[in-house]
Amino acid sequence: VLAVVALPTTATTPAAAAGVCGGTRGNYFNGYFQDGKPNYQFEGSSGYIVVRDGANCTGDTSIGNFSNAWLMIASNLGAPYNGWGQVGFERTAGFPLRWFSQFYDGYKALETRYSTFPVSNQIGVRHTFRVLWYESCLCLRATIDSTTWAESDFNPFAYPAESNWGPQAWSPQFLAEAGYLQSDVPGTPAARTRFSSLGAQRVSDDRLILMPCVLSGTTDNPTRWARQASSCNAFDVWTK
Amino acid sequence: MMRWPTTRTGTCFAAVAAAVALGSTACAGPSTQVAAPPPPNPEPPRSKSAPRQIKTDPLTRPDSPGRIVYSSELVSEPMPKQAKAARVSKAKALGAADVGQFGPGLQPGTPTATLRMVSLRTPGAAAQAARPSWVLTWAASRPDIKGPATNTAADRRRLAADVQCIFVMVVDADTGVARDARQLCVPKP
Repeated sequence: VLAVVALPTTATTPAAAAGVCGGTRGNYFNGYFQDGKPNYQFEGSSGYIVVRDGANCTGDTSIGNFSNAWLMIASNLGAPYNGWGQVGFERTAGFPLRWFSQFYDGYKALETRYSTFPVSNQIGVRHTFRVLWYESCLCLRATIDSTTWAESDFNPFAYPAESNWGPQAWSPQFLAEAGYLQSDVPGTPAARTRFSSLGAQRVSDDRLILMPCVLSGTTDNPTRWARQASSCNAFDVWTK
Repeated sequence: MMRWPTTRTGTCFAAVAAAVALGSTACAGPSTQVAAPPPPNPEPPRSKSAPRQIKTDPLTRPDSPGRIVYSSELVSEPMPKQAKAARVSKAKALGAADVGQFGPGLQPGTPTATLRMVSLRTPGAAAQAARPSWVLTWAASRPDIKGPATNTAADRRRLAADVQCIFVMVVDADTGVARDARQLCVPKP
């Protein structure tokens, strides 16, 4: 039942070289997310992501200079609620591409796990990334393919006792990101970062379903970055 | 099994697919909505909201005489008194190829290196037997705050200002191989 949309093909020009870092260091995005409306109630997210690299801009060697791609389940959006669980891959300036996951309870505990090994040899390989809620642990688990990578020390549903995620609706998100607008998001015109078979885990029965057509797109630097959806649950991102 | 919700029509799916490709959501507006929105799901079952009640203490001195719970997956305990000497020296652990590969933001200055019995648990699996390991700890690690596209810069600045973080690496004291790397942040006192 996938509704595929025919879109113009994109010229396969080489990716622009990452520029000199400038402006405000921050969190800049390119991809899709559910903005909490309509009121679908989800507790996890899932998808394939083809691993690609993205060059960091030059002039800042801090951890704030990064390029990554990931998926996430985020809390009820907006103050006073906060929290997330995410998993993906990332390059920070001067260091190799790595897996990472991050969990935040919205109150106090922020935990990030990084691979101790580089994953540059996985560029071009499609991996399954998931952050799903498990009744067995009352927690979120981040998995990469069949490997359980990390789990949250909190139950996001235990609001307000040990999480500040708030009530539903929570937000599945599927994004590439960079710390500067001059950096590359992962992917080039000829080798895009493909997100596909995007799924969400329903609160009502914990089952994973294909992501309904409720995602909104965002591209913080459309001059430099591109995204193209091929259906409600598949899209590409890349640096032009 | 993958299933579509049944409350929306194919027409709406097609409209939304086009809208997603163009960066908006067609079914969000009343003028293009061709099916009733799905009814709200019931509240989560009561059992879902039980807390895990895991008590962590990542900022405990790494040479503490007691158990340190860094996270549900990473726990260290003092070496038993009769333990053999580590095959990998502290200097070799600090110089291991995998150490120092995260940069001065995450790993500022010189870490403390403490020989401990470390249990690393793969989530969902039984705990592995504790192994003698060097626990390398960098204090004042800069918060690495990721998070959703829907958080604002002010949200992130506030969180960064409110937490203190350590960066922990675990290096196997028999093999010299890095077993784990993570940043752990808790609220400032």
